Amino acid sequence: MNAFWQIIKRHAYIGLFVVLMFVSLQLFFRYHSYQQSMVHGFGLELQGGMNASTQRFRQLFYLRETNAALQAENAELRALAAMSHVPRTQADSTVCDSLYRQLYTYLPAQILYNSTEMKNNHLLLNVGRRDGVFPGMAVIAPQGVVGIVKEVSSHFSSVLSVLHSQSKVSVRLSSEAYSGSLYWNGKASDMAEMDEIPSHVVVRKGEKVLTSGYSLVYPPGIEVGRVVDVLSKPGDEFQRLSVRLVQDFKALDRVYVVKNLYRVELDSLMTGDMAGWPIRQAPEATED
Amino acid sequence: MRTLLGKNIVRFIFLVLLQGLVLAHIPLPLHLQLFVSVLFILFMPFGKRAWIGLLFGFLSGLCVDTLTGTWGLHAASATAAAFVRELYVRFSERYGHSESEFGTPPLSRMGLPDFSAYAALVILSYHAVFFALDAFRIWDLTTFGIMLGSSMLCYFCAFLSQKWFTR
Repeated sequence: MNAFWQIIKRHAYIGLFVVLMFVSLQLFFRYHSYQQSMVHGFGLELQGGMNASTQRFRQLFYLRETNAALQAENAELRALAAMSHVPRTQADSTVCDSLYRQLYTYLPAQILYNSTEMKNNHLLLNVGRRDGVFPGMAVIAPQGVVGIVKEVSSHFSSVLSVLHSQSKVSVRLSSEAYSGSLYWNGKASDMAEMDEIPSHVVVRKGEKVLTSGYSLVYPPGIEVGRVVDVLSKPGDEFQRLSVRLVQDFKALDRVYVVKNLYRVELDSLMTGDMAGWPIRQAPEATED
Repeated sequence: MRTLLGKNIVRFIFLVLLQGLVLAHIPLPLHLQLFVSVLFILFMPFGKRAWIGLLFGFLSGLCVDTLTGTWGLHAASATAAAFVRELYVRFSERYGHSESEFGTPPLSRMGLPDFSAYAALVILSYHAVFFALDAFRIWDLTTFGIMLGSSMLCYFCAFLSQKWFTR
């Protein structure tokens, strides 16, 4: 204890120096306005810089909530977009937006499970019957199409991925009116094939492949991929195209379930179940 | 011992008045400034009671501030110089462990190299704090030049006056 006090006594001059310096500087800054303003300015800069840094750090904790809010807003905006509407009449369809009626709405959803490595891949979403999800509804992501809702429970739904052997999407080439079907060949998760394009159609590599909208499942005009190669041989009646998908299925996180507001009416007109439209060789499926 | 205290009190009053009433009003060329009040800190007796050196250093600066209206500027500089002086005493084995309570630091006793280093440290610390606070631009070349010039002037005065102060 005695040694401790000796050390304190020996170094007390440092404390005295700090106190005297503090008094001097207090006196100095009180009577020197230029230096005072400089210190205040520096203090503000420092505070601003630190606040900006901590704010950037704090924002990281709210990324999930921010993403959810943005996704909900995107869903609303997508519902307002032209591709989600149909003209009220054929004659006046192009005159004014108010003459279009809503055809699609979008429900934001989170992916709970996603397989990409199997021959038949599925996804599981955190939305279900209670959210208004039914089999046959399309699921899209910000970059492209994802699949079709296959089964639904109260709170969850399973989705037949585009990367499924029975999946089929009605698509068209961006430069041509001809539509065809896009299906997965079961090889790479970023490659698919498109067929039913007549042989006389000139296909350019890099051309966009968009949803046709004919199936009434996917809204029209959503980019699905780009043509990489023509696989068919000369003399074939139809061309088969190799398409690179724009959506990276391994990086999927949040998606939208597309609700067709006229689904019941359309169902009643169709002979079969809408859920079967895009599925090839499914027992309950009927091609459109 | 009493004589030494009296000498130091006279030195304190003389240097503070000289600085505050005379030198502060004499403009020097090239914006140089001569601070003789630092000589009081420089020639304060070495002792074991560090707080005395710090306190008197602060007081000398405060008195000059009162006379010149530079509130806090000389006080901060003098406190810094007194602290550097105290550090020198602590870390210099020869003076730090001096048995003498009131050992004085004359050139004749310290030797030229020691005294030069000691005076340079104390004078530079005083001027560095003074000009850094006054200009508030530490890395300004002009301020740095004036600071060095003023320090050299003061350094020269310290060598000139050391015989008279330590008599």
